[in-house]
Amino acid sequence: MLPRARPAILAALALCVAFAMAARARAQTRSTEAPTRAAPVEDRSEWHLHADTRFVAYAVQSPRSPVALARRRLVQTAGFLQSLRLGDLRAPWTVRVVLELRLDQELGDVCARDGDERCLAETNVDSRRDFQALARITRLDLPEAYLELVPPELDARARIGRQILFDATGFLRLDGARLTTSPHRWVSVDAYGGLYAQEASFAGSDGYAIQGNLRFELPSELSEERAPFVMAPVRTWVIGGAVSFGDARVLRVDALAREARDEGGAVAMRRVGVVARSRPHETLGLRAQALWDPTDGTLVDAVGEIEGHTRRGIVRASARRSEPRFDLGSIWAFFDVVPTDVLSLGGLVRLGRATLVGAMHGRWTRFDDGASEDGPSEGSNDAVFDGGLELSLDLRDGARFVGVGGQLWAGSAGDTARVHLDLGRSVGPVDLYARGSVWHFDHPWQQALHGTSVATAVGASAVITEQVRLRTELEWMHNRVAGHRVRALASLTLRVWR
Amino acid sequence: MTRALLVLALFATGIAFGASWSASTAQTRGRALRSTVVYPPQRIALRMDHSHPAHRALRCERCHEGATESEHARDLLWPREQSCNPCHAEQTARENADEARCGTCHVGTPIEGDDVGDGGSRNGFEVATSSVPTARLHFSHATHAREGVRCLDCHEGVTEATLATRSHLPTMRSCLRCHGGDGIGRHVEGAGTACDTCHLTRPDGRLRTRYPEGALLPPDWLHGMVHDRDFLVRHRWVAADAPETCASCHSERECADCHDGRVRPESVHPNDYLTTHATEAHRDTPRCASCHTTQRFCTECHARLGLSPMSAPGAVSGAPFHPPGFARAHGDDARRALTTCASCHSERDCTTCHGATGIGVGLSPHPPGFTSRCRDAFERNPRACVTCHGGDAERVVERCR
Repeated sequence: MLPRARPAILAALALCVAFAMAARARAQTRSTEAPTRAAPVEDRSEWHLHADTRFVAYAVQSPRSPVALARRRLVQTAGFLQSLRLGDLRAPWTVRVVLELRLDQELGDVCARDGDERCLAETNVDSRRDFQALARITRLDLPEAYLELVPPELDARARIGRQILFDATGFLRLDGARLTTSPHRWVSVDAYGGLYAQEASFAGSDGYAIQGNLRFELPSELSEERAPFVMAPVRTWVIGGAVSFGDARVLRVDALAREARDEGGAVAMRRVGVVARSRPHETLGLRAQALWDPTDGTLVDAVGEIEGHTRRGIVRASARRSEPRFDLGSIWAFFDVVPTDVLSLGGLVRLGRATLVGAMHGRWTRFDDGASEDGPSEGSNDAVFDGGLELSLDLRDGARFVGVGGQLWAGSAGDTARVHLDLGRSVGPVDLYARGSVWHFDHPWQQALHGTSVATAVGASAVITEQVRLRTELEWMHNRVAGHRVRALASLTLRVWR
Repeated sequence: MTRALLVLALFATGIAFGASWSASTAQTRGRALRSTVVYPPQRIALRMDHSHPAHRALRCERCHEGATESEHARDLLWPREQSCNPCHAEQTARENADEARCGTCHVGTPIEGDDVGDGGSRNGFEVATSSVPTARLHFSHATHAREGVRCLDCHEGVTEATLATRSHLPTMRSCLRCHGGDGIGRHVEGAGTACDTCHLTRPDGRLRTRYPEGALLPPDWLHGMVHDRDFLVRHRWVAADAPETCASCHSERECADCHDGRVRPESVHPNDYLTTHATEAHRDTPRCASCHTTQRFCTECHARLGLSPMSAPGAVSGAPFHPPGFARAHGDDARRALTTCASCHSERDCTTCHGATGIGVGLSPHPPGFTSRCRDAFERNPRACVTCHGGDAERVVERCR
């Protein structure tokens, strides 16, 4: 295992050393006051580098088998930004290049603890009985790589390359182009198009991909027979945009659309949406959003929220309807699903330097038709309910922080009760924190998944210099299913600029 | 249930304890609260009465010399001794420095029997030092004065006060009377509206948010951006509505740190979330899906831990995962949270029963009325139809209305 990972570790360490040297050079050339000042506009060129190294170690014990995963995960990112100002410096054209690299390296192992402990490398292609071997041990990713042009007028910007964008339709990682402009403060336009960048390893946690089939490249050493449920990735093109109009004080409305098509023209995903918001008075905010799948007119996600401000705090009421949607190439896209409605009432109250945050939630799913296309469904025709109460009190007094709170949920999705205590204190450049929580949980029909879980964590985050930040954390947990567990985290962030 | 009640009782006790502490803290600190991050705590060892009729009759710059020319927040604009002299010459005379005189304006400690030479002595006065850290703001008094902004527009209430303290410094709300826009405050032509017009920035141009006194956070009333615990859920709408406001402090990379992260963010997944996540996921799958692509992320662990039909034989315990009778009851659960099914199962598990005869046993999973739109579905993307209906898909589509 370790020899396979060695090049990646060496690469990560080399990056750290390079950045540390650059940070040192930077510290010698910039006055200590500089970080508190706005960037001088007379600079035609500036660049920034950053790197982030994170190592986390913990174990996962299966609740139903003797399998345990020893997670040892290294995540190394490195980024570069170059910004150039061209033309008249009072109204310059800005050209920006952004590049992000990321390395994910798994260093752990999979073990079976049934009598004799058998630990195997995660990719064990020889044994057909042991463990799936789908996750890539090493993943090199390019999260962002784009060129941006910002003209002096029209509040516009154009980007080309790999970029992450987000709007009310959701996240998207795109290899393509995007243009945004706001020629008038009442009008703005956003348009984008390109190739949907949704590749990830099996272990990828990204939320950019369309919910649907398992589509990814299998590790080269693994045959398709071992994973017949995995499909080869297809190129998916996406196009979308938004138009906003209006003054937010009265009414501002966004109209959005996004469509993704697989190679060959098959539609993978379609959304149209409307967002309306208004702040007619400083004490009142209104927001409504609706997203449809125009393929069949399903209301995928709808939210309405009203927020009122008083001298002592905020009151909020919101209603939401959501329905799971899948890639239109997967069979699940055409299953009979029902929406879930959530009504929440909550807000916060200022008590001196403390904040009391609370909310009550009612959540129900109504099986209103109770019948599938072929006749009565197997389930009930009734609605099922859940209700929840969440409260927390946070006291932030300068560099000290104390938070205490909890939640209680009951209903069809299982009962949950949780209390937590968070403490924080800054001592010079070091932020110290401690957390503790007790969680009691039931699962509606998984008797194995109930019990009480206790967790405590202590950690520190230290600003070593303006360029260097360190963070460490140690967490201990105990529950009936997995017994005692420990999780350790170490993180080093380097940031330099010129 | 008893345990749940015990947990609830613990929670209530904690809240009560915290509330009482908070209330007492608020009382001792007075009513006027300014951010200690923007205006660090001051120690002003002076006595002054701005509300004194003689003081009120004066123009501000009569005592605060240079205020109208000041370009930086760091400039100390307190009155100098000579400003006080025309009326307080008797008190400022050094030869008579004792508590009765110096103490008129200064806080300090009387010194008895100070040696004045020639064997004589007299009482003295040790003036206490004041500390007024620079506000963490870009601010030009000169610009504001040129634009006709009056001192009292920003330093409200100072003419009724004795000592001018942090509570007489401008708030963000008062700044937005001219620097506002987009539904907040008012915008006066020429007044900057960007956050870094006033707030300090880091070298990368984003706001500096970390200070010894704590973190610089948005106020409650600004675009619904209050960073309370609820913000974890609500920030997606704020980010969609006003991404440029978020970008004042955060880079897009920070979005990816959480949403494409490999290190569990504690604020999102507290406690031993590995153990408790099943209940949470069952309740609110849309929230899970905002970061996790179920079929990629969830199945990775579930398969390797022997919880999924995709697991290798050696990883499975042999006992069925679902309780007896679940096969008949699974419909409702699948209808309301299909993503939880997809976190362990692949399509082929569903087609075993829901595939057309020959592929499965022909139990239709389609909603009522599906036949009226199935032709469209086929034309847009035939793959799903073919998965369940095989080569018959085109013939089946002919039955669509």
